Amino acid sequence: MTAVAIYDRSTFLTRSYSTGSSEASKNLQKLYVATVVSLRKSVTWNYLGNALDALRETYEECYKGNWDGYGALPVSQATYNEAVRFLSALPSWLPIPEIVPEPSGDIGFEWNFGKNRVLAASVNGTNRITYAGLLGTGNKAHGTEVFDGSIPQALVDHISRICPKSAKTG
Amino acid sequence: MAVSEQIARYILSKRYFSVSNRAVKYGAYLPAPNGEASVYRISNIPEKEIWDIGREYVAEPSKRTLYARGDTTAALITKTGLEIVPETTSHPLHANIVNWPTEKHEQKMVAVEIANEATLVVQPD
Repeated sequence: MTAVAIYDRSTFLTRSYSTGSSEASKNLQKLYVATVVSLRKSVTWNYLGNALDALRETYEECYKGNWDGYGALPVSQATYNEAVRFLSALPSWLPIPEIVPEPSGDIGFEWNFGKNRVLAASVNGTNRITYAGLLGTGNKAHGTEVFDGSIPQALVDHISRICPKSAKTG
Repeated sequence: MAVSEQIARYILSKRYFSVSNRAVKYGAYLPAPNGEASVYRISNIPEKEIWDIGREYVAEPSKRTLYARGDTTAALITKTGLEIVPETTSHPLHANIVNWPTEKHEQKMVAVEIANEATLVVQPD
């Protein structure tokens, strides 16, 4: 008999991470992120590869201040690490968002399905998600949620509400 | 400032627009850390001059590439509760979007609403 292990992208490799501040802890965290990126870019997780590449490129473009020409704050390593965890934690059936750095140094994610169907969420390395969205004509939602390694249900519900069935990947 | 005035936000990051979706992303309209978003009043200005202003007064001082701009009416911005205040030290058509809400999620909501209605104009080659 052949055993097959099936992992849910919403929890696999996102639960365990360090918040320590020692050099060893930071190195471990970097190794963890590199491992996640490497695994996500394997054949099994290839659909996330482009987003992780875009995330890495965004970090490299924005780790120094004023990357937008208007005085934006730098994106920190902690924010990048959290953004990797956020992307990796998305339920597999949700479309992959586009990466949008923010002047505050947050890394944002945008799901844009056309006019009045947009949701933006961002992280900044403090286990908090800030989000805002247009959920169809006349409907909007915004707020903050704790990011504990899994995507808050409120966020999943908002994205599901504006996401066309044809855009869902699972 | 008349609500019908055209307002341009110059875009110096490739992450702030999508050519395929012909859309400006919300990040382009978020305020800078000083609490303002820099814009220019472009009503009745020829296209070439609009791009010249962007290159000379926005991109070159920060040594960045000017990729595109987001155009809106002043009304679209002010109906969200924001204000557009002329600030002509650097250029007579320069202004700042001010009076942003203090909470980040509220700022993001306003930026999403403006970007949702903005028109993307990509700099011609």
